[in-house]
Amino acid sequence: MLTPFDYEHADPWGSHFLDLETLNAHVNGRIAELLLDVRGAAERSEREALRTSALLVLGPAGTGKTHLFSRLRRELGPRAAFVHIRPDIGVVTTPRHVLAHVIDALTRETARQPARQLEVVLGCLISAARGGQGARPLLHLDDHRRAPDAERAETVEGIVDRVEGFCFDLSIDYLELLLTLPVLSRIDQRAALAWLSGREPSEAQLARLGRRAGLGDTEVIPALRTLAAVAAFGAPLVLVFDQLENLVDPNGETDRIIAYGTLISELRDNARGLTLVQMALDTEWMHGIRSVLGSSQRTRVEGEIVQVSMPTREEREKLVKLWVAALPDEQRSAPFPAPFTGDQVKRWCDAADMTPRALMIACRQALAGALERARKHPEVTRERQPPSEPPPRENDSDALSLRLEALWEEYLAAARNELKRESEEGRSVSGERLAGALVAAAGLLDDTRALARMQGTAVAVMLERAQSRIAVIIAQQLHPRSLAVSLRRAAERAATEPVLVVRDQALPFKPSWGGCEEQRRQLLKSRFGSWLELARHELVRLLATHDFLAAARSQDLAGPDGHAIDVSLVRKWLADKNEITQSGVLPLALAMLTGTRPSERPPSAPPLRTSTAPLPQPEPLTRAGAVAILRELRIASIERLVREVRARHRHASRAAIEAELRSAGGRIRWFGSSIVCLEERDS
Amino acid sequence: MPRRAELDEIDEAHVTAAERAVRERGFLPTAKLLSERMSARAQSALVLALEKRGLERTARGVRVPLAKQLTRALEAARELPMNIKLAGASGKEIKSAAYALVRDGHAALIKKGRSERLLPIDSRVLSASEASAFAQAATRLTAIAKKLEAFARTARPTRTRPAYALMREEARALADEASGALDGIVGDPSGGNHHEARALVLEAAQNLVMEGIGLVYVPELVQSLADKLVREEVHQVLSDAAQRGELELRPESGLDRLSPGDRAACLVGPSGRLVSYVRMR
Repeated sequence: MLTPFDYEHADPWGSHFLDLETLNAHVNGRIAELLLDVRGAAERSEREALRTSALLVLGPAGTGKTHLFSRLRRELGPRAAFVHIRPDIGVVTTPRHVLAHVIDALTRETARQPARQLEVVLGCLISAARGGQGARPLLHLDDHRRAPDAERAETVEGIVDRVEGFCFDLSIDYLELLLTLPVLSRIDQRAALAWLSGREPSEAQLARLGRRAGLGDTEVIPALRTLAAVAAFGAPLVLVFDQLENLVDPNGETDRIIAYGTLISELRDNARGLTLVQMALDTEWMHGIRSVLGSSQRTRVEGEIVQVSMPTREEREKLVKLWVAALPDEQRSAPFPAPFTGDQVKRWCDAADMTPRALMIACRQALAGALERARKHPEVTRERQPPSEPPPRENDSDALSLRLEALWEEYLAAARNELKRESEEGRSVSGERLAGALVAAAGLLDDTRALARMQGTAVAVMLERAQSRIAVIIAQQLHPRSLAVSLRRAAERAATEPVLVVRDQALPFKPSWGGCEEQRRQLLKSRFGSWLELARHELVRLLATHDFLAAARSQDLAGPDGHAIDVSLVRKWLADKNEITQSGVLPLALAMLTGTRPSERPPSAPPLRTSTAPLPQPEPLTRAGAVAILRELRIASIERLVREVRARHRHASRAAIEAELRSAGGRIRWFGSSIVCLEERDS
Repeated sequence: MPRRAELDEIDEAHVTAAERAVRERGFLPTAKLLSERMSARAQSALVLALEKRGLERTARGVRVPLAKQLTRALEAARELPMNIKLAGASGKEIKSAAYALVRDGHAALIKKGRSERLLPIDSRVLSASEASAFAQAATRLTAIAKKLEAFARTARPTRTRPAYALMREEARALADEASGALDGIVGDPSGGNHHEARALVLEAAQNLVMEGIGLVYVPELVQSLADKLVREEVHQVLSDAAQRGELELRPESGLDRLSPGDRAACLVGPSGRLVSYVRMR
């Protein structure tokens, strides 16, 4: 059973929340004031008064910066819409990236009403347009939905007029689509949200919207500006940039910091009504980021600096009381300080350098010790407990490994959830997110340098080792046109240098994507081209690796003693695990670099689907399995074939089956990438 | 006679004038914040603006925050009775503000005869570590008193035996233990080195606060006092001040950014964390 001491990492969108309101009340107080100013200016339609403000929140690790986000959401939502953004390792944060985060966050529920943030924003807008000052947004939204078309059109026109009146440089096209959202069907809403988020909508989504292309590069900032102005009427947007210390590159590259400075400057100069809250470790900000920003960027980024406070002695005691009060009854059978001793609580409260997280970990360990003692000596009453003894522990390195293993499992679960969420939306993780994960994972390898760059709608990660390099192109596009363009470019490039194109296995080519199939064939025919579909388990590990390393850099991974685990230890532990470095995309890419075969995979990991011209094909897992079954079926979908093969070979993976079919050459005829047929030749 | 026209709009000049007047007088009733007559709307806007500038609103008007008034009065007089009069505050409010100051470690509360009095934190009162040493000594003395009593009890005859003689050595050992428990629990009240060091460190720390950031880099502080105090003295003062709630110890959060010299100059906090910054409260 989880206790309050098990939530040492605040989940920005999580439901578990215990809060000591007085701790760092000055930070949310200040943000509330800024939001009040934004709402006031929007109500009065005062263009000059409607400003974007930036607040920089600095503090040591474990002082509750991310917890502040949860508190803000609960305290100020739904009177504000909150967006949580963490920079990816190795990838530049762009306005498009921010837009995607804003739309994703708007589709999340508010803290105190069973409604999505987007519904509250639009409801407030409709209410304001009807002279209601943003009150009862859901009621107004419901009225709007039920209103006849003509009345609705009139309301939309009124809103556009009102918003344009004080914010004349917004994108009307964007605003109109945004305002149609409440009356769209679920499937149309999904298409509209894909377009509004700046992501590339699929072919079908574009057809539903009657559009030819996604949001163009020049339309992204006007889109953000529009969202900011629209939200200002009732639920102003609060963009929270968390873990900014991850902008600091261990190799000393400063381009991501400068790009971040440019982004914030652009938002402050071009959008009105945003509240930008930036959170970072104080030391990293002062020594690693501040000095890189130019003075014009610095003045915009550091609009106002607020320090997160360490808890006072009284606050530490109140925190312990708060957590103890939330313990299950069987773990607190006596009054406070039970289950702890008075000495323990006094020692924790007297330690002026104790952060809330360190305090929580100390409590957790003391509780584990108390429970262990109670289990061993059930006859000893609480008043006559034996003197406090630390919980039994293995030697330090074993305890650290166990701790890292437990944390790693948490991050794997979070990555699985993320993929599940994306898949529910009919998409996969973005190319940038995957590129960040690859850059982070490549950092675990010796002598390997990785750099991510946008290339059209795809992202390329350049892996360099000993004067040679390979481009890993991440092709996660949902639209066949842009995917085909990326594949064509990759095929052209593969004539002269090693290129590995990577795509999530959960995004197969549709039967009608003949152009993409043709470009993939060209890529595989080229001298140095290769293709890899990432299996879900590998994607999960890559994303978890990224987030795990990002957390280590933010000093969010605390060891058994409550101190942050050194990032070098975390890297070593992850590298020793060999999960990323010994199988999957990285070893394959590096093997292509050196012209060798990737090392053997551990038996637990299913093989990956690879098709590479210069490298030998991977061993088919089900030799004669897939082809033999196809001979029986003659023609079948890949899904059916996978089912049939798995019925006989339990561990067969889809990637291995596809690899086997492809290696069978001309005997197998493909219809798109989903249907296969075995052609029997006359002997 | 016609009534004077009411002021309905408040601008920056009005707010500044009212703020100056309140800061001069300590407290002003709402209606008298400006020399002009104000509408109810203007009064409420003005009070709101003054609150934003750090003044305190009361039921009747606006005053300089009570904690600030109390701190100033305490700085002026070395000792304050609890029934002191402050602008725009009731006795109950003053008492509660005084207690808050004491709880936050900015003042000390003493009992003189039957009345309570407020003192600034200076050499007249024991520091937190001294008070803790005092409490520990009291506990030790209680234990020693029990031993003394048990020892003395053996010198009394019972019905079955005559009185035991007490060994001089044992008696001396117990007496030494008792006096040892009291040794050094109260430092030199005339200021001594600790108070001098404390003043030096806190003043230097105030001068080294990074503009806009509000933090003091501990290695820089140690370096700035190198010719006057050794590193351990600076650390001791910082630890004591943190115990009193005057400053915060901020654990180092950088990724291996400290040079060996700076690392050595950092303070190791009570729970073993390296403290590279302090923040004045």
